Amino acid sequence: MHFSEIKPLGIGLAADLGGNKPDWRQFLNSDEPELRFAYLNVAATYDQLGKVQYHIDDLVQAGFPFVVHPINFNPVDPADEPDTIVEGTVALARYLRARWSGQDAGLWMWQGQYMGEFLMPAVLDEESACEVAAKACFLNCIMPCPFLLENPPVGFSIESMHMLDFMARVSSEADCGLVLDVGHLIGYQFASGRSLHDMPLDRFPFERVVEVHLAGLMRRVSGPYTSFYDHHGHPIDSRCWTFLEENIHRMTNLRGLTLEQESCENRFVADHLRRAHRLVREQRVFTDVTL
Amino acid sequence: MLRCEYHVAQQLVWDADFRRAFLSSPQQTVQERYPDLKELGRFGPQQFCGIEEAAYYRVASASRASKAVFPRGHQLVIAYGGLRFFEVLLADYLDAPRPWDAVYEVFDGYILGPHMLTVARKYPWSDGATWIVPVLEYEWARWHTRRVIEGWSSIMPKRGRLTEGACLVAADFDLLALLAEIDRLVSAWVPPEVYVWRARPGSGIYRAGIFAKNKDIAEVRLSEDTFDTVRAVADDPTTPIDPQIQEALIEIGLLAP
Repeated sequence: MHFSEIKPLGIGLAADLGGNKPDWRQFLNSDEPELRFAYLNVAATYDQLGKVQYHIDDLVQAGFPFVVHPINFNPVDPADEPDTIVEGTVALARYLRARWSGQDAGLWMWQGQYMGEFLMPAVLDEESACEVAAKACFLNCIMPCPFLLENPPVGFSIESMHMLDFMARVSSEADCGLVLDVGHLIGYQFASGRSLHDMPLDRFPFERVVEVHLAGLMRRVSGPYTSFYDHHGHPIDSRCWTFLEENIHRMTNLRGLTLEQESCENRFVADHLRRAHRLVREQRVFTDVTL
Repeated sequence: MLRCEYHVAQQLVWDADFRRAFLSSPQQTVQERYPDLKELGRFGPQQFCGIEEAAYYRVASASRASKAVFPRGHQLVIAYGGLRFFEVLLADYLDAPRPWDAVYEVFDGYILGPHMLTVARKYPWSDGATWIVPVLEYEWARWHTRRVIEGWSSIMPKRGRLTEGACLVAADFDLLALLAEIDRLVSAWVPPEVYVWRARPGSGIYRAGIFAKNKDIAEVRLSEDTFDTVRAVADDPTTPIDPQIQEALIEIGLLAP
């Protein structure tokens, strides 16, 4: 299925499935419509189908929509994915009847070790764009739903092109959709020594953005240097909201706005949901979706 | 094949010596270590800062995991090994052996614990404080046993006739007295120098077997002779053993029937 055929879902949530923090189930059927969310984005390792079933089988059986975030593929590595990882991830997507899947363009596995929060972003150059595009095509073939590429978190980059140009090049080559993680993008601007306004937005194919990720930013100061890192437990930074408010109208194929809220306080999640609802209403996004 | 740039990037954030050399002379360092790599691109001060932050994050993660697995040994590692211990630990961390029966986080105790023991056994401790190793072995044995009780599979190799997951711990000093002294220092939030001053092994010996029993950690003190016997049957199951001692150890749960 081509990404352009994906049906819109609306505002979604990524949260710890156990519902410990935040207690996302309290928002599911809230009396306040602006506290509800339309889908869950499930990030799980290839061997966690049992855990996922344990926590959310009731929702799966009820037909609640899901998006899956694989975390064991290696989108930047030209080598084949191990069969166990492919089979486990595909099984997870099938079980969830995932509407789409998306993973950051990074090195998630190293010599068989899952790297998780220590993942390496893609090298940002032409050669790498071709390699990642080839892998994206492969992953789109094997997954039972469209596979999207996400701009990864960047602490420092090896690059000859801007992240957005890289993602544009990859998505054009692979004809795939994109997940635009706003916090990753803002963190990247700082990490690469650029100002927030120094983005090649006019060249970026916003029409390929299927999903947006929104989360908090952790500010880190060491001596004269400041950096920002995407942090799901923190309140969503005003810079992220501003970027989205200024650019969401360009995302003509946007299908989901995911608030990444793992380990976030309930009261912040409530604030974020309200603000996201207000944003999409004011910008007339997801107008054909009702919660 | 994975591009060389990824190997460079990994080494920059895991290997402190390489990172320092790179930060002082990027081109020369890369050319020396990775002669096939033509160019790595340009690095400005903000990117150096990003490399340092990524490196710090790994040190911090290793330190946090170390404290969780070795709650008291960690204090000794800080006092006697300092940051350098963690730099050595991290330099080849991604090459460390790891259990493959499940997906583990990078700094899961099942990966960090055994690797820390391996590094600790070879580490040039200040003041020749190699007695830190049995402290770490003791805490690892307890932590691992707790994990097994929680339902994780054991990663300790099956040893002869020992109960699965059981560990033998030996210290040529009064280990429990030392741990009690460390607890005292921890509760007082003293600086690392105080550990070097006060946390020192006394006379005596400690021999024990540690294993899971009835959903709890069993710690059985053994005499030197019995310990030597148990270690012998752990290494070679055909080793003869006094039937009365054998029966007692089976009843306790240290030896498998």
